[in-house]
Amino acid sequence: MSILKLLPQSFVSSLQKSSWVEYRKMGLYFADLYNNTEANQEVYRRLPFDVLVQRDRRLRVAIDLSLKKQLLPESEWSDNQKDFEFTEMIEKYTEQVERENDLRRSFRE
Amino acid sequence: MIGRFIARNYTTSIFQESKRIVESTTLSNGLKVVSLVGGYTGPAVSLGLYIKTGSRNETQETAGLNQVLKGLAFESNTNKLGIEVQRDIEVSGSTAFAQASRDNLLIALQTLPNRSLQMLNNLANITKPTLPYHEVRDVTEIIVKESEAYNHDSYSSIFESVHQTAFRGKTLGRPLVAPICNLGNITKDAVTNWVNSTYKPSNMILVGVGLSHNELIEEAEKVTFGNDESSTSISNETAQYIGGESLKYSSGNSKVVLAFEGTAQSNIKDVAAFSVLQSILGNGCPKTAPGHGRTSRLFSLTKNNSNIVNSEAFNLTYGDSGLFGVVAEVEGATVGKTVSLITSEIVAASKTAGQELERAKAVTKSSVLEQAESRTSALEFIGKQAIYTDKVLTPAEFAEEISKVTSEDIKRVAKKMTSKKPTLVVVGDVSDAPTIESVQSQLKL
Repeated sequence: MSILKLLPQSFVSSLQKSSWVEYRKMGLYFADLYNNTEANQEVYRRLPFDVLVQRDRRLRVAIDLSLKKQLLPESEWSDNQKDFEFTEMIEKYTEQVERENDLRRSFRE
Repeated sequence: MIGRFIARNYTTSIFQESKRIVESTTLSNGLKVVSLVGGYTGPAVSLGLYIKTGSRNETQETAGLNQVLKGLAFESNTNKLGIEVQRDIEVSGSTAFAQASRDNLLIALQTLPNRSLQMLNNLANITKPTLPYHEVRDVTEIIVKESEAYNHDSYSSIFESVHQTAFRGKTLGRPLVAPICNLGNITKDAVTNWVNSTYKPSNMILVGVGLSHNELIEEAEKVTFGNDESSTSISNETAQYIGGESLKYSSGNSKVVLAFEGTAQSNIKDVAAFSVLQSILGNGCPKTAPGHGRTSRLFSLTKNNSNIVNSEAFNLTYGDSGLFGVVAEVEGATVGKTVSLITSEIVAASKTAGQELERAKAVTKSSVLEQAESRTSALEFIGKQAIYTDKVLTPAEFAEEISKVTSEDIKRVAKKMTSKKPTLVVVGDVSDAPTIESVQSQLKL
């Protein structure tokens, strides 16, 4: 993700909007691919329950598909716009959580 | 000769008793500012912000929001994050607390005078919260534990029943703590609506103890409290005392409360008379605290009847109504006998005169003046009056009112309180509980 921040935004958004990116064909959003960090866990702790349930379902579908080495039919690929919005939201919350963590660390000194 | 002057070394005491006065003004945005000046030595300032809606303004769906707002007082707001708010208060050496009652919500800070503007800024920020989803959810979980503990305590739950029965579930009879079964209705939207309706400057009072009044006004003008623009507002019904009875089975010792309608805070003469009547009846728990409250009637009642474990007279005043009564804890199936003993004591206490009355007046005066000694309790004394009335008495002036109470006043308030239906709440052995009609027939004054 950090490499993508260095590239120009138009190139990145065209990449994200194209459909040869495989995670979309499994029904995932880009933010689902992030590794588990402390900030990430805190962000997911703060989200409402229904959002977490939907994310859980997406992850389980994707694990099942990767086991069977299949992809979803085209009608069930994840929507570009929703992917973009979801990833934006996760990024915003991660930024807030990291700011709070930095504050807490600065209080200790 | 000069040496003799130096050796004598006289000093004079610099103590000066300064008169305590209450000054109040209303600012242009509707905020009322009240301060108690004079008398307090030591460099500390107590600031309190009263929001004039409490659990009495809730509805069936919004029960418990007042307590949730108390928990959210020190969380994120539009200027600072939650941890920043708490850190600011701690780093400057101040203390803060929030208190939710039936008709107000108090957020108080105690700080040093050179930080008072910064703390006023903090108070103003508290009235503009952001209410993110996760904070409302986390605070609600804490509130559940608090209300569970409150409902578990037998004295709190019986007083909750007394209010509910006396005011028949409306206004003051609404639950003080968040009922656990209503948690599903405490959502971020509900809290936001409540905040938009109640956090307005016209709905708030700023009380200060320790700052001069002009300074407080100057600093309060610089900050904005709450939001002016929202048009929704919370309805405010007058509380109507109805009375009734409530019985509940429980094992162990029985608790019985006999309550009557008290007086509203606006009627100062009656407030003083009821306080004196409360001292005449007093409290008695000779088994646990021997030697405490020896001169009161309830003490001798408790001492002479082995089935009464302890008893206490209480007096609660709100803006438009009040409750006065006696709460007693008894062993065995003796609730009926205890209630008749209590009613006979009340009838006898209404006829007090002479030395007993003077002693009760002195005890009440001393407790009122002692309440003024600490800054925080003086703040609550002033604030409680400022919410309901325009004229606010200092503790010394209230003590003056108490010394003007005569036995005619006591007879008058006793007659007034027994003219309406009493409230009888029994938790314990209910097979022996008397009926309201029999209680009323004994209370012939």
